[in-house]
Amino acid sequence: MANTSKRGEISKKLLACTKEATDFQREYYRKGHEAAQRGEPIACLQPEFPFEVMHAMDIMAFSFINFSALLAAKQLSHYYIEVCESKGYFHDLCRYCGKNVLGYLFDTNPEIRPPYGGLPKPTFLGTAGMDDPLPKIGEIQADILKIPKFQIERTYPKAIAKDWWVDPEIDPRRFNHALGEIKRFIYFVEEHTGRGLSESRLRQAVRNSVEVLKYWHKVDDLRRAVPAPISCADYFANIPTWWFYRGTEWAVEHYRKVHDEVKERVDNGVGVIKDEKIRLMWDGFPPWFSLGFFNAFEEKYSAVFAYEFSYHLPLYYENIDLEKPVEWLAYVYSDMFPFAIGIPQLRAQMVRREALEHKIDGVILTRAESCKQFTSYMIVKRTLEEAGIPSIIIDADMVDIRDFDDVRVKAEIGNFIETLTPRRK
Amino acid sequence: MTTFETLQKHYSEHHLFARDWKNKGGKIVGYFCTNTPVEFIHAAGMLPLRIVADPEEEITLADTYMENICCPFVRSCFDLLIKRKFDYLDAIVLPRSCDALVKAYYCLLDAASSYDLPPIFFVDVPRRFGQGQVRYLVDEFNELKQFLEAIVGGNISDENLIESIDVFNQNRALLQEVDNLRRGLYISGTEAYQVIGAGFWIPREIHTQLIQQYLADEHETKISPERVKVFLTGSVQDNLNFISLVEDSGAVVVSDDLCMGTRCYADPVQLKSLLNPIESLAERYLSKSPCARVIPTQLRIDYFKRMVSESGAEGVIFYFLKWCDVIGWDYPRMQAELEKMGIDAILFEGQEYQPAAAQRQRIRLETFVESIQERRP
Repeated sequence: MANTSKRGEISKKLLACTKEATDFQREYYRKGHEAAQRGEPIACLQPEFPFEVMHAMDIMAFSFINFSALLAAKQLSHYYIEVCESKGYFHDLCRYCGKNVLGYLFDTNPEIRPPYGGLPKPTFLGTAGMDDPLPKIGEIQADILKIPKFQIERTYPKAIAKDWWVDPEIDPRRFNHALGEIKRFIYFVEEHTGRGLSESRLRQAVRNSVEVLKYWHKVDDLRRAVPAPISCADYFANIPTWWFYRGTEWAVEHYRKVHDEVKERVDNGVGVIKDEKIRLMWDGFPPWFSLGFFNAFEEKYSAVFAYEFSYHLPLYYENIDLEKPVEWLAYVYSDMFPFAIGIPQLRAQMVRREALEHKIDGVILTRAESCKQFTSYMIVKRTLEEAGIPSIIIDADMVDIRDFDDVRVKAEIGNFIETLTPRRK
Repeated sequence: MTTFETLQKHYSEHHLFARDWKNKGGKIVGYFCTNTPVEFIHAAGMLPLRIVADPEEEITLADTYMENICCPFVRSCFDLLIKRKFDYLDAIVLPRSCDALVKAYYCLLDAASSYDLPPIFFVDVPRRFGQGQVRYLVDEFNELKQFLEAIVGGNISDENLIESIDVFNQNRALLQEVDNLRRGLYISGTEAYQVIGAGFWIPREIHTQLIQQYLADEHETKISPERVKVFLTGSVQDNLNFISLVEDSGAVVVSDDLCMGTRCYADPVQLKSLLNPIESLAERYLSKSPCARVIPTQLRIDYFKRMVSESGAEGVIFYFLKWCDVIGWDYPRMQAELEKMGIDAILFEGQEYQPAAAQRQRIRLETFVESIQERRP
């Protein structure tokens, strides 16, 4: 087995419902294994796929990227990544969406115990063209699992929307293309599973997604409070709720609880720490192997990771016509994750906005060698400088602890914190 | 000056013809990659000029826009553009060929006003051939046409396009004959790339005339059969640094699947009676010889196998620039296919764009060549 002497830190989670999210996920995986044994269809989709369709058709849906985060959290990533690299995949290729899970699929070592009994074996795969690696990774996964795959194509905007968060200014051609792709996906699922998609059930699933998103955005607003009611640690632990379980009744109920807990903390002035002095923001995917990193500056520096920018979704999703759920999905899919498809200006726009609204004193920009498309800090840094918001760039892969120098990074951030002045007066 | 020397000059001095063309009132559109439909630029009466990097120029200004974990070739091109090394351009066209080019497009938008860049157009070329994707690309091409018409101040008619398609098809067919000379060991790979590549920086009509003269010249067999025939694959080769090293090490590059090699002249546009020229172009650009960006990947793997087999190559050289994800993911499958075919391969991964470690590369190449020579019957 690869050298496992490096281990991440477990985070301090403040919300009771964060544990519920973890429990739900564990139970979901257990049910997935049972469904697989019964021979039911199981989907494995990349995150920007319309999970609502799966929930509306009662098809259990998993995601390799979610499983990758779980592998990292259980300190197994570096092992699986090295398994993948032993098959000839280069070091700097994507690890989060790629080599981590590919290594898991390649691995035949019975001594290794993946979390939750492993990924329930999917019967079909959905791969997206969000960036260069993803379609290829999906093909390799499908080859290993010997299952059919659906490859969804996506398009790119030519112009930068002035306020993408509120109005993405999606070109009707791009929307029509996305609509065609979503419909093509639905036909594929119906053909593959023999199940039909009910429009009314899809409409309900989409409404559930929007309800979750509304709560999520309310939580975002609550997190502007001083002191910060929760840190990134709780936020990241609750990410799967929208990304993978959206469309379900459980997700609505869960995120309502998240909202209520956070609101109670805000109403009572309860913060992550009592004497909050500095508010930090994390830009990028988290180091899933060490979410405790986000608590590392609380005691020594009274610094809290009050906010983050990574998986955030825009306000305009709430305002699309819900009576046409397929069109809603197409609208959302047209521009999902634009900052991840290499539009640094959009990312800069949003990071700047969130940093100002959340009274952030300093932003940590991440450089992940294996995720080049998501790493676009230069324009973001310049935008923050123009807004008078200090930032620092650190090296941090999302799942590969081998390339994360915990001591060095903490020292860099510590030095950075010492240069910061609280902004929120 | 011989015909080859003329071609050689145009290959090595990219800006030579362009500056003269510009001084005489001509317009020039810089483009990236073989996914740009150059026929449109030509049909507009403008010179299509391929933007390439410069291994001798240190990347400096680009660092304020593009992270250093981005493709070094694209970063170098971006650096040259904002340093105004291509200051004669009237427009820039980038296709969605890879993540690095996508990022370059958005960074160029950001840099445009600060560096007085010309208008920039992004052609969103899909990765797969499908009914929806063809329709989408037809619309993209129509938008490109309007963009170019605004630059040149005139219309691009269907007749203009048909004529341009014919110009480029004729040029492609002639370059295929140059390729045959290479495979027949009449010329080296180094010579072939200069003959082929010269066309990126001069009008295709002039390139065609030069190629016709070049083909009419005597070409005796001059490559020793002792040399090991190799096939080159991987990242873009926009200069001769590595290719010369390969051939100095005892090999001859008889073929490739590179965008500045065979893929720039494969696949003529087929005008179909039931399609207008824009639709024909869309179908061609979505179905041409696949590079690593195309899905399904099997199309590329099959193309690679066929090209290697047809070339008669005894060995394959994989050359990957650092941070080149789109190609890197294909390597294990390509290598596995070569093993089945019984063809040796050597890998150069994580290479810097600026020349470096040439001595180490040469040693590895010479060892590779010798190992193949020793196994010859």
